[in-house]
Amino acid sequence: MTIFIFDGTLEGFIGSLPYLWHNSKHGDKLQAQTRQNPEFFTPTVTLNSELTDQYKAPSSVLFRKTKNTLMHCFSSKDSVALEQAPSFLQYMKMNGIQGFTHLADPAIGPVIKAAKKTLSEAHNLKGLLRFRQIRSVLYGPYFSKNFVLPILGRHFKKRLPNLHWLLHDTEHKTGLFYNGKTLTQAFFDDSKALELEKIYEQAGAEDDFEKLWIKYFNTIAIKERYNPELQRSFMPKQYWRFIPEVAGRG
Amino acid sequence: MDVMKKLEILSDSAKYDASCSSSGSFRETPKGGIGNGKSSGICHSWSDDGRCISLFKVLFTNVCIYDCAYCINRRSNDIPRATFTPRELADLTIEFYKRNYIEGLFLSSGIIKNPDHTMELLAEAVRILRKEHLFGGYIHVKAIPGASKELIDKAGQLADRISVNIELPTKESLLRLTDKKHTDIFTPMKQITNGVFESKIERKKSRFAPRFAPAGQSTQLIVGATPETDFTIVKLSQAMYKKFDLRRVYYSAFIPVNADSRLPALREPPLLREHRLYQADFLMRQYKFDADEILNAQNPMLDIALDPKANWAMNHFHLFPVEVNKTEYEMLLRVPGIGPISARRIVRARRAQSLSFDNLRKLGVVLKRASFFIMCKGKRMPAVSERRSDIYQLLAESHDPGPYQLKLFSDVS
Repeated sequence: MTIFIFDGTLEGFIGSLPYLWHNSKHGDKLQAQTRQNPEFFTPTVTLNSELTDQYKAPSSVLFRKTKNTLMHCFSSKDSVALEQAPSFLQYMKMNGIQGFTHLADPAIGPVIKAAKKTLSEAHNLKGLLRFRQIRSVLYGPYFSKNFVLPILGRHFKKRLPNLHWLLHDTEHKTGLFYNGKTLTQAFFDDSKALELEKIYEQAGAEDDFEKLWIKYFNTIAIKERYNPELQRSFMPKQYWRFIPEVAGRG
Repeated sequence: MDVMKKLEILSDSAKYDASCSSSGSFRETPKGGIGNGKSSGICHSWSDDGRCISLFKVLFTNVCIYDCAYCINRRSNDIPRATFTPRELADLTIEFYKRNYIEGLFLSSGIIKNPDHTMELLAEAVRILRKEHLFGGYIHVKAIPGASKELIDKAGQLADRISVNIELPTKESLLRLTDKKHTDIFTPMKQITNGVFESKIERKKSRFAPRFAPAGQSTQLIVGATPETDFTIVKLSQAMYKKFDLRRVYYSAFIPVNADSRLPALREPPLLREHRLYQADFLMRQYKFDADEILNAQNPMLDIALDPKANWAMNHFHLFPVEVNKTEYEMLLRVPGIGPISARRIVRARRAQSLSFDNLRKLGVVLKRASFFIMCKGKRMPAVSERRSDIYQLLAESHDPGPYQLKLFSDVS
């Protein structure tokens, strides 16, 4: 068994996949530099750009699908599943697309499960994210456990292609700005985030459509069916801060 | 009247419509426009009753010329009345959509003046959205029974889904509780079915041919307002799925909103019965069950203690246990605790290896229910009861809410 060490960034992870596709073996592990546990008797290979740049990403559908799944797995921050990346790549290389259905295999199940966590949260946030109009820009801050910003960016680019908007992942302190043509990544330190929060609060107080929406939300429930547990199970409280219809409920 | 007040009145009147689904239709954002449709649908919020809010569900007006016994908007009710203008409604939808509150619009209405006039107003609101705002989001619009075919076609060509609520399961009940003019539900349903069918044929010839309600049609039945059995309801649903190619039948537990001697005096809406009907409905749509397998004339009501699939398994106990590694997909679907997704996963995963109970858990099988009915590698799960009466008890217990505190004044209203 060999342990491959990468730099811990998404770019570093994506860059290392072609190398691992060609050079790893089933049973090898991948670890981020920051999460590395010292293992004295296991050979390790540190993946740097000099090493990984020698290998080109295969153009096959299989590699693309495998890479996407591993990227979603990376976004889930599930380091145990991520360790399986070399085994996952080799299993897919050997079994082809069918390999994705072999969920009972210890190299496949955890990776697919972690990737699904990311995709599932992204799907939820496609609905739960809320925009507020700040001048000509729609500003959408949100909380997420997994890093789903790229997925949300692609979704809203298709959905609101002629508007300007800014997505702000408050947990990962990253954002995406769309100017009607291109997406640009932005990083928010604490002072910028605080400044934006003030503007956001003010925009909420002035938005008549938000008041209409809250009125609508409060009216649409049937009191004979009142079921707040069910509501919370679908819409966990951790997301409530940026959902105006429930934000004030504590 | 300002928009806030109108919205309050018209959303309050619309809340008894069960449907809020935005799935089944894929639509690209129009050039220069806003919004698209995702075939999976997206839920945007959940109201205090736990129901999903995907669409902006609202009535165009709650003024109605009819006097149906079960309806909150009936003519004889003394309630505040309001009517949107088509443009007000379209503008409100766009502003909500921009803020990502909704996936689209679900537009229903009381009958103002006559069915044609009402349908024309609904079609106009949809036209403004699609043609002026270039809106590509989801639109579900109600067809008004009695409206002309041209107007229903006009709305159907712009909307993703168009539907007519059947409301009650038999003609006798409809005649007893609704206005006579309001009982011809099947004519517009048939028109919509034909529209969808013709559109599909035309689109095979040319992909530029106009689409007609690409997300199909649905309907809604009120449960518990009339004495019909579950067997009648399930048979009716199955017939409608076959005859009108419906995507969904929604069931709505009867909530008494009017004091009317023709209606039963229920203390609580029959929510569990509604839930069991949804389960039976899923068995017909997703699990390839026939209505006659679920219920029959001798046993016309669904078991409240046990879900219909577990009930079927208990009544066909001699067919179990089945060997998971060999049984065909159709039989796997009939095992309680195994759904279409996990059945598909089993069929795929067992090509690579022989599955154990631990593997099944990883594939998403609910072993708490399935373990009574399956074997892996020729063996049953250890410490699992094989006695029919024990299994019934254990399965029924999983639905039992358990002990609860009685309310001292619960009978006082």
